[in-house]
This record gives sequence, C-alpha cells and structure tokens, in this order.
Amino acid sequence: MTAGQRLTCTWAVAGRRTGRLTIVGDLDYDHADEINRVLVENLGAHPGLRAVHLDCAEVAFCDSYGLAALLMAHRHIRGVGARLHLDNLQPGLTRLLELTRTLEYLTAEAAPSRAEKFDT
Amino acid sequence: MTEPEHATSAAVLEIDARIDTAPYPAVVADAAGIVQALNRAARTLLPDVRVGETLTATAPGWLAESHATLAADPTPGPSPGGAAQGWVDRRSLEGHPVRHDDGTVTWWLVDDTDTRLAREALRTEQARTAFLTEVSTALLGSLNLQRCMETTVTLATVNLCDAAIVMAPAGRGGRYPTVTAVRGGEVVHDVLDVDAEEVPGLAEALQGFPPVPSRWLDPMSVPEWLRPTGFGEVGSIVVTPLPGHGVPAGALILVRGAGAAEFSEEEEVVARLFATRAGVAMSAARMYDQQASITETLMRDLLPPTVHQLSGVEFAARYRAAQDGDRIGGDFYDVHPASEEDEESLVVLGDVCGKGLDAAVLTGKIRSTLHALLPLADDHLRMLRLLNGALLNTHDARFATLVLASVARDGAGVRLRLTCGGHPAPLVVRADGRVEEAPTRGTLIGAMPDVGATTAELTLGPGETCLMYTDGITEAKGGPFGDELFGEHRLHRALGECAGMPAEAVVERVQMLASQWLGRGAHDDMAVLAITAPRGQHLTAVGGHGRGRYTA
Repeated sequence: MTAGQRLTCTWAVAGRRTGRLTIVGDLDYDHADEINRVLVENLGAHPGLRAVHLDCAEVAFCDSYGLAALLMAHRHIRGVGARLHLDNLQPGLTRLLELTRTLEYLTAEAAPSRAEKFDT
Repeated sequence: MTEPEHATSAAVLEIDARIDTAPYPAVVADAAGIVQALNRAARTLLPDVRVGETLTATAPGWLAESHATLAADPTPGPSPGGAAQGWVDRRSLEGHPVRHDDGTVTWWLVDDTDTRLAREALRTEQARTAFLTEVSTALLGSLNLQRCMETTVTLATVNLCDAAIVMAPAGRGGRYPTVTAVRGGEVVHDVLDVDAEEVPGLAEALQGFPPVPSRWLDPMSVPEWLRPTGFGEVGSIVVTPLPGHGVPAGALILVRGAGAAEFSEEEEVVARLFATRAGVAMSAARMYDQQASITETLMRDLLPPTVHQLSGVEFAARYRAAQDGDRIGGDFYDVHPASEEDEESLVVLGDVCGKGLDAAVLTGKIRSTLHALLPLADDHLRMLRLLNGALLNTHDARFATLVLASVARDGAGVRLRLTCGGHPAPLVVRADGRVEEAPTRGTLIGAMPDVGATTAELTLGPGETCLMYTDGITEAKGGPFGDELFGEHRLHRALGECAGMPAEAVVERVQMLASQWLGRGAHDDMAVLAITAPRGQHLTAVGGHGRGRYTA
C-alpha cells in the first residue's frame, strides 16, 4: 500500500508516570516508522514513565508493517520499564491483533515468561 | 612620370607627413594595388612592402585580396564594406580601409591579437562546456554499463581524440573488459588478457591514481594490444582514471594519430573532466548492474515454484509482486512433495513484513529453515516454534505470518492439516458453494519469544478447494472510489462462485478479481495458492509429474 494517509503522532504527558501517544492515520509501510521516532524521542525526554497509552481511535488502517511498528513500540516502552496500553482499538486493528495473537503480548503486565505462553 | 601619377604622389606625400608617426600602421595603395605610401609603423610591421611595388607581390595575401575587392567595388564612400582580417607572423590584424576621392585607399592596420585570442578561448571554452553537458546528458541517460562504455568512447573520438579505449577494472581471471572506438568507426568490445603495467600510468589509473601528463608518455612505448585495429602510428596518448563512487571505474585512454597535434594542457583538463563524468555514469551503471544481478539471483531462488498436480492432489498458485522497483516481495510459497506416494506433502504460504531486500533475506531464511524442518512436519506447532527461535533477533521487529498445510490424498478426497502462524486462515470452498474459514489460529513468527497455534484438520471432497492467500489480496485498495479494500467479504463471495472449479481456475479468478479491483492503484505483494481434490472422473490422469496417478 503506497497511497496511505499521512500519519501524525501527538505526544502528551499526564502526570509524571503516564505518557499518551495519539495516532492518527495509516499504520503502513510508508508511515508506520513515525510512531517509533516520536516514541524514542519522548521516552528519552521523560524518564520514570510507568505507562504509555497508544490511542488508536483514529488508526484507519494497519498492515503487517504497521504491526511490526507496534511490536517495536512495545520493545521501546518495555525497555524503559513501562507498560503499553492500547486504547480505543477499532475493529480492524483488533482483528489483526487477534489474528496474529499479539494483543495479549503487547499489553501484558510483565514480559511474558515461558510459563505464561498461550499454548493450546 | 605622367602628370596624374605625379599629382597622386604629391597628395600621398602630404598625407604621409601627417600619418608617419601614427601608432597604427597605415598603407596607402592606388586602385591598381600599387603602394603609394606607408608610415613608420607599417614599415616595421611589413618590411617587404615598399612604395611603388604591388600589394600582391609584397603584402600578406589577405590584405592584397581585400584591396583588390575594394578597388573593384565602384560604390563610393570613405569606408565601404567591413574590415579585413588576417595574420602577420603571430599577430592578428584588422585592416580598416579609408577610400579617398582619387581612388587610393589607406589601410589602417589595427592589432587585435589579444581580443581575438580571448574570443577564441571563449569559443573553445563554450564548445567544451557544451561538450561536457552533452556528455553528461548522453551518459546519464543510460544505466546500461555496456552502453555507457560505448557512449564514452564514441563521444571521446568525436571531440577529443582519434581513438579512445575504455578499460574496465579487471574482472574474472584478471582480464580487462575493454571498449574501443576509432573516429568514424565501429565500437569494438573485447576482453584483454594483458599486463596493464606495459602502458605507463595505466595500472595506476586503473587503481584510481591521478593521471600521468601525456608528454610523459612515450607513444613509441604503446604496446600492440592497445593500438586499435587499423590505427596507424600513435602520435600522443593520454591515460586518465575513471573515478567512480569511491572505487575506480576503470581507465580512459585517448590516442591521437602521428599527424595530429599533441594533447595540450587544457585538453588534458577537459579529458579529465570528461573522464570524471564518464566514470560516475559508469559506476552508477555498474552498481545498478550489480543490484539488478543480485535481484536476479535472489529472484531465481526466491521466486515461487510452479506447482502442478502431486500425488493425486491439484495445486495451483499465483504470485504478483508489489512493484517493479523492488521486485522481490515479502510473499512466498513452497510445495514440498512427499517422498512416498501416501505420505503428506507440505505446503507453505507466507508473508514477510516489509518489502525489498530485507524482506527477501528473511523470506530466504524462512524457506530454508522450513525445508530443513520438513522431517518434523507432522507437528506443525513444533515446526513453528523452532522457526520462531531461528528468526528471533534483537535489532528489529520484523516478523512473518504463514500457513502450513500438510496435504495427503485420502480415498477420493484430500486430507488437510492446516496451521496458521498469525496469518489469515485459509478458506475452504465446499462443493455446494459454501465458503468456510479453516478453524486455525496462531501467533506470528519471529517477533515474540513464544508462539502458540491451533491446527485444523479437515477433508476436501472431490472438487473442493482450500485457498491460502496473503493479505495483499484482501488489502488490495481500489474499487469504484479507489480507496476501498477488496476485503474478506468480497473474497468469500468470489470463492463461492468457484465451487467445483479446478485449482488453476480458482487462483486465476481470485488473482484477476483482486487485480481488477486495484485498477491502476499501487499494491502489496499478492499470493494465492489453491489445493484442490480432483473431481472423480480423471481416474488415470497423470499430472505431468509421474506419480500423479490416483484412483477415485
């Protein structure tokens, strides 16, 4: 997909412990890297965060590259000791996260250990 | 002396007295071209010209001719026609004629050597600039290395020299690919197995060292292999490196025949500027070439195989890569035939996140890992876990989604075990047109430390099809308004119309519908693979692959 909408990411801090990244646009091959650029910049500027919310209310489309960006965001947020929350997931994105079984992993309390694996 | 001549001489003498000390040379001649007078400056400049002699016999040809033309022209006036121009020794002179009433003409000679030289230098410079611009345009128009080399030698022979040779850096076996052109002749390609050291400066130039000035090169030392066929004696030679992007692109050798002027210092500068442009164009072409051949090599290995009927099961697949720019996409599929007639074959279809070379490398890794894991194919989850472990890395979150399908002929039908790793579930088209989603789910591969998955087991009756596809199909953006996704709903509906069709027809139809939906819009890779249980009639059908015989 090359004809996606531009992606804008807006960072805000609520208190000293919580960050919020509002994502508007398409999480696709051409744009998804933007969330990690903004995240890395702000995670560095705000040490001590405990939670980072990604507000996905306005995510119109997410392809596999967008999902890779979310997984990378998860890595960055975990890296500073915070927990990732995905807010206002729209049906399309929820479906993608369920299809790939990444939803639990992305929003888990702590890093999933071998004991917690969602085996079947 | 006759009366009129005397009168003329008197008049001349009178003028002479006033012009004798003028800083510009002046020559007075009558209509017949006989010199009547000349001043002191003229006597210095033209020592052969004397009063009473003809201009034709004593003055430079251009002056005598201009005078004759002027004398033959009856139009009266002080200064008819333009100025004459010519050379005396190494000085350029402009002759300005002034016609007198008695038919005599005074030629004022003005030295314009410096102006002329400056103008000529300007013209040469303009011509060179035009040449270099032409060079850039001609060279940058092509990303084909051979054509770049041809253009270089051709342009060189038109503008710089009589023969030109481009030598590329030594290739396989230490031999040098060369392209040679003689002015007006054909361009000749060759591969030379020679010692570059034989030409002074050539070995250095091939390594990108600064050029040796041509006057240091003895034309007699030019080895026979460098002399173009049919080229006479070499007069002068210039060897210039072709600088590339960080690495030398080869050497340019310019040759002039024995009769031609040697290369001047300015010409060598132009040759160097020319070589710079040619070198950049060639190394760009070479890089493109390398890239294209890398892509070609990868493509050959990564391109999905053509699939047919195997062990009594129909397979068909279609693949459409995203863009021509990065032809290797992230989608892949493989069919690993069973080693024994009634064992399972393994089919893999997947999608690697991203595009281009990165995606291609990951694709290659996945395909070879799975190939190695084939003996474990009876446990899909274990296979996925091992694959996941092999793919995990720390520097990015690239992952793949895929479907594993173990396929075996089972009586008239086909038995399937399907496992999704984060991939859209395969769709099953039943004989009555119902479309079902295979009940399998699993984690994507290569991004998270643990993976889980459920395997679905099902059977296809004769004429029934299981379709595996990548999201390039469902996410094809287009339709009447150009921004709608093809979507699963449309795919389901399209498949419903494919009940009872052979595998080839199903993939053809799905691919066609998605492509139509796209129109001319950009798209991701699209891959579809159909597994079909043949309808019962082809009892002795042989699928072109020997062991395709089955009974219904």
